[in-house]
Amino acid sequence: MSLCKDPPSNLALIIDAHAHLGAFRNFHIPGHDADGLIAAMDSFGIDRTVLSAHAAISSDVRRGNDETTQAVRAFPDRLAGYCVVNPNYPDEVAEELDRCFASGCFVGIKLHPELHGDYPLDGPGYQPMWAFANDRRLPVLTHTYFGGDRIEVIELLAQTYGDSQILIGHAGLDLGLDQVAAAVNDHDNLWLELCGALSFRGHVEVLAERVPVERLLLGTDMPFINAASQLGTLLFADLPREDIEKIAGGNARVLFERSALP
Amino acid sequence: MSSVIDAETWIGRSSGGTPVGVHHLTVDALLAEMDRVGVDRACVHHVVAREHDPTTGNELLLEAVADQPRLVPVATLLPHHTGEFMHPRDYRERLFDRGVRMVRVQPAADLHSHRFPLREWAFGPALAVLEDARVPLVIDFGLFRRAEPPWDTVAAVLAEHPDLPVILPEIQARNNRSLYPLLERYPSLVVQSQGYFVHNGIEDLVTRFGPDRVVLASGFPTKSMGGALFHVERALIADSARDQILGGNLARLLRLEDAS
Repeated sequence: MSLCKDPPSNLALIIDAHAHLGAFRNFHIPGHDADGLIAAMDSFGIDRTVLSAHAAISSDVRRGNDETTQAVRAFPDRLAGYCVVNPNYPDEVAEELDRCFASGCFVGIKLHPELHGDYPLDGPGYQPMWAFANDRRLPVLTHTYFGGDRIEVIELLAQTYGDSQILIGHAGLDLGLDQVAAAVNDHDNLWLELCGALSFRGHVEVLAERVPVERLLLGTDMPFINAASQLGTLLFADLPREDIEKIAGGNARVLFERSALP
Repeated sequence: MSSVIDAETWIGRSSGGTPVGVHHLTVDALLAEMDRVGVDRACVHHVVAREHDPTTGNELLLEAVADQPRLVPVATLLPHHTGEFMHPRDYRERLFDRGVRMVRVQPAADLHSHRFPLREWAFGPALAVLEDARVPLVIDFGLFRRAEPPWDTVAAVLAEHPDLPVILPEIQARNNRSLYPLLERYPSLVVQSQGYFVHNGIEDLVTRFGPDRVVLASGFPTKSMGGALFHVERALIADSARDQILGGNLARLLRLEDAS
């Protein structure tokens, strides 16, 4: 491990709570494999990355989860996996979760309802997943977007599956700042993952004022997008150093320790 | 090492557009952020030129940066045919001779842009003047997230004005399949690092096309100047290439005194 921990990334721990792996059909991504991710992490000072494979969110979910397994086994001290479930194969969801978590390579679950046909988060295809996550107190990272479920649906799921930990992807940018902040304040098991919000200066500062800073998580979406611009925005944010430390990695350590992040 | 030059910043009072972020930036605040982050010079336009009226905004800009040697004014242009904006024959006296070294246009038709065709029959005279003066043109299509530029329009400008440096901001993460053929074909095309969100993107672009096709840009205060600098400083490229991207390329394009 040869992390570049020079300032400004000389934090004790940096964990990327939202990343991916592999090719994506819609555009060219140079260096999208595990070696490419590790090289970028080393350069940016990222210690650990929790990822799901593009193939899992956009194509054959089993094939994609296998790619994640292989990457984690290649870099067990740097990478951990989100198991992706595809609600369009509802009869296979429970089996795929068992298969993933039996491997020891996964620490959470990733949902991409947009790429799975705008599938509703509270639809029957996701029910086995919510039960599984609730039983094991797992983090569940869900993509959010303009056309997806509103924050009220996520709130109801947080209430119903109160032992799961729901990470609202992209800080719920498309769901309304006031509504998202209120939801996080009302539900102890809702977290905001920041990739996308970190594309703009000032968003993380506002979120840190509006919700407990302990519920904010660095995410980069690497290699979907470049991690440096997201992380760099956090590192130069107008926040106390201790808050930046928490958002960059301290909060994620607390969250993922429950699911055995190596 | 060349000076670190940010190709894209703005000053003024913005309408906001989003409920969070910075809506008002003074020259002093811009200079303070440049000092905090480590940027020596910055190209700057006035947000009133973007949001309201280019003629008014350009005048506000030139007045604001008149005694600021670290700030390079970037004028915003419109076509002249309606009488809303000066004729291109007046660019030299009213813009270039007053310190403008780069210009920008926002030709897209959406409500936030200036809605004009970036084509010879509408903007050709302006492009010819810019090309003759070698004044770089930033084409801002107001891109965000999954958008892409109108590539045929960009290709036409590059083909018809081969000596005009064209700088594209906000290319986003998804457009290499269109960008690369243009970079191959037209050496006058340059990419702003701002909004070029491709993973390993700077590295791959430098490997394929050389270190002179990218310039540091932040979009500050909408975007993070520190984040933009971090993006380039941690790119896995040779230090000589990094120096060019951080400032050398822009110094050459703008013909600043420290251009090598």
